[in-house]
Order: sequence, then C-alpha cells, then structure tokens
Amino acid sequence: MEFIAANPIIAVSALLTIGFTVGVCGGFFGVGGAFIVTPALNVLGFPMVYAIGTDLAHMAGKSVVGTMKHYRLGNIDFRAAGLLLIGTTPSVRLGVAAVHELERHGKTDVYVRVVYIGLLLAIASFMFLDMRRQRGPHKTGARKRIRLSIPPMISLPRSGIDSVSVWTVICIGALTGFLAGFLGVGGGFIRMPALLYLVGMPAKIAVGTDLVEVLFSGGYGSYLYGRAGQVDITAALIMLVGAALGANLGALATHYAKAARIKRLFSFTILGTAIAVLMKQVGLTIPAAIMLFALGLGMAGAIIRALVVGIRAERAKKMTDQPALDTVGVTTE
Amino acid sequence: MSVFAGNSLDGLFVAAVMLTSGLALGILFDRLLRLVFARVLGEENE
Repeated sequence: MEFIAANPIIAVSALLTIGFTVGVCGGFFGVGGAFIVTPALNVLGFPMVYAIGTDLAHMAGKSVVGTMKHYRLGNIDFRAAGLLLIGTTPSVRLGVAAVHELERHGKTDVYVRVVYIGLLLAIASFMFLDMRRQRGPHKTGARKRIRLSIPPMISLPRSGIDSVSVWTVICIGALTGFLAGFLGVGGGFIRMPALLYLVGMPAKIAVGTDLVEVLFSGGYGSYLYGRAGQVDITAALIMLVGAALGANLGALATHYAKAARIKRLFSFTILGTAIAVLMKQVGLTIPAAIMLFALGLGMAGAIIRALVVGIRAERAKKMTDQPALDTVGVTTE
Repeated sequence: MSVFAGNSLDGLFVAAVMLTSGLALGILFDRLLRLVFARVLGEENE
C-alpha cells in the first residue's frame, strides 16, 4: 500500500509546526483551528485534495482525547449528538463527492481556495465585530436564543432544553458535515454558535457535543479520503505529534492567558491565512508560506509566553508564601 | 464517481491508525506535562 500519496518535499519540522500551532490554538479556544491546516498544507505544496484528506485524518486523531475528557465530565448530549450525526453522515459524503467531482475536472484547488478565502474572511470579520461589540458601550451579557419552531419538536434533557426543532439540529449537522467533507474543517466555528444560539445549549455541553461531531467528521472523512488513497498518513501522524503536545499546552494556558488579547491575535491570524491563500492562488507561494508560518508561530508563541509568565508568577507566589508560613509556624511554637 | 472507487481497507486503516495514535499521543503528553508542571511548581512537596 502506498500511503505517501501526495509525495511533496515537506520538512518534518514544517509539519510539526503546523500541528503544534493548530493544537495550541485548539487547546486554548476550544474550537479546532483546523481551517488553517488545509490552506497551510496547500501553500506548502500539497495538492488540495490531499491537503483536505490529511487535515481530516489529523483532526480525527486530535479530537479523541478531548472527546473522552468531556465524556468523563458528562459534557456530551448524546441525543443532540445523534441528531447532528443524522445530518452530518450524508453531508460529509456529499462534500467528499463534490471534491472528487471537481478533481475529475482538475478544478479542486481553485474552487476550494476561493471558498476558503470567503470563509476565512467571514470568520475574521465576525470575530472583529464581536470584539468591537464586547468593547462598546452597549455590550450585553448572554445573547437571546433564536427559536425556530418547525415540527417535530424534541426535548434535550441533558442540556436542559424542553423543546427544539429536530430540523434545526439536523440542519446544523448537515451544514457543518458538508464543510468538513469539502474543506477538511471541523466546523466548530459554525456549530458552536449554532448550538449556543439556535439550540440554546449550555456552553460546556456545546463544547463536548461539538467534539463528538469533530471526531465523527474527522474519522469518517479520513476513511472516505483514505480509501481513495488521498491521505498522506505520514504527514498526518507528524502533525498529530505536534498537535497532541500543543493541545495540552493550549489547554493549560487557559488558566493564565487573557483570552481577549489572544482572540485579537487569532483574528489577525485568520485574516492573514486568507491573504496567504490568495497569494498562493496568484503564484506567490514562498511569501505566502513565510507569512503563514510567521502568523502561526506568533500566535502559538503568544499563548506559550502567557503560559510561561503565568507559571513563573505562580511559582514566585508559592516561594514567597512558604517562608511566611514557616515564620508563623515558629512563632506559634 | 471516484468516491466509490478505491480500497475500503485503506480507508479503515487510515481512520483506525489516526484514532488510536491520537488517543495514545494525547494521553502520553497529558501525563508528561502533568509530571513536568508538578515538578516546576514544586507540587511534589505538598
């Protein structure tokens, strides 16, 4: 069996860096950041179809432990996850079929790149607007749930929801499933807000249920691309090593880093990724690769720096507290 | 369409390898970092 189907000359360090950066971002923000991996692999020389397949494979591996952790914490709504999967399963396959159909006409790279540029610009714009709204004078607490009452209705006791339209949940699964198959993304950037504001799930349950979907989309997508010989398993495993380490560090950094500052940097990274894809499309491959790596490393570096500063501060606090306790001990004796 | 062509065993192998590797690496780094952080923060003395 030939697994290194794409066979581009990509250094192991580049793949580790991609995996690590995306892992750190995913661990910190909760949503994957896999939408940076496919463009990064493509900029580095992977044909788009292999970039998507390899991204999905790495995403499947990365989400296993996160899903298990949330399962143990009871953060998964299995009824909602089941409904989401009804929409996801056929639409992942539809997304993969669409890519393969484009591949037959030799148009995958350009079509997927254009969709990526639009999607990344939309996400970056939404994040900038959201930050502006939160800074502004009219900032509000929780947003109102948007109710769509199309029968049949179902209750989701685990999430404390009395009634939600079955179609709402299935359609969320279908949309994100298609994006997973077509772009190689987890879809958390759409599924998370949809579960929060359309279904009305509590944030913790939404994260856990979202991870089940990411695991399934990644696993099923990598099966579909893998059986067509379009997953570079070596590259996916190298990225997974970086991602597994980065995800753990990113999760630890949530205790120390200020989310607002990192979120701003993340918005610029997404915007920069869209520009890099555009540069690749017009033939500026090397500047695009440099830009993408600088942004990714800057992003991961900022989170790791916050982690190191936080640990140093905590350590210093412990060391200053220790003699004080000893003194108290001596005087009471 | 080309999606129906190919070897299903390859696909299953890819998915299985990635899922098991993800589980193994995730647990490994989780334990490793817990150990490192416990040392760095001096929690082993508590």
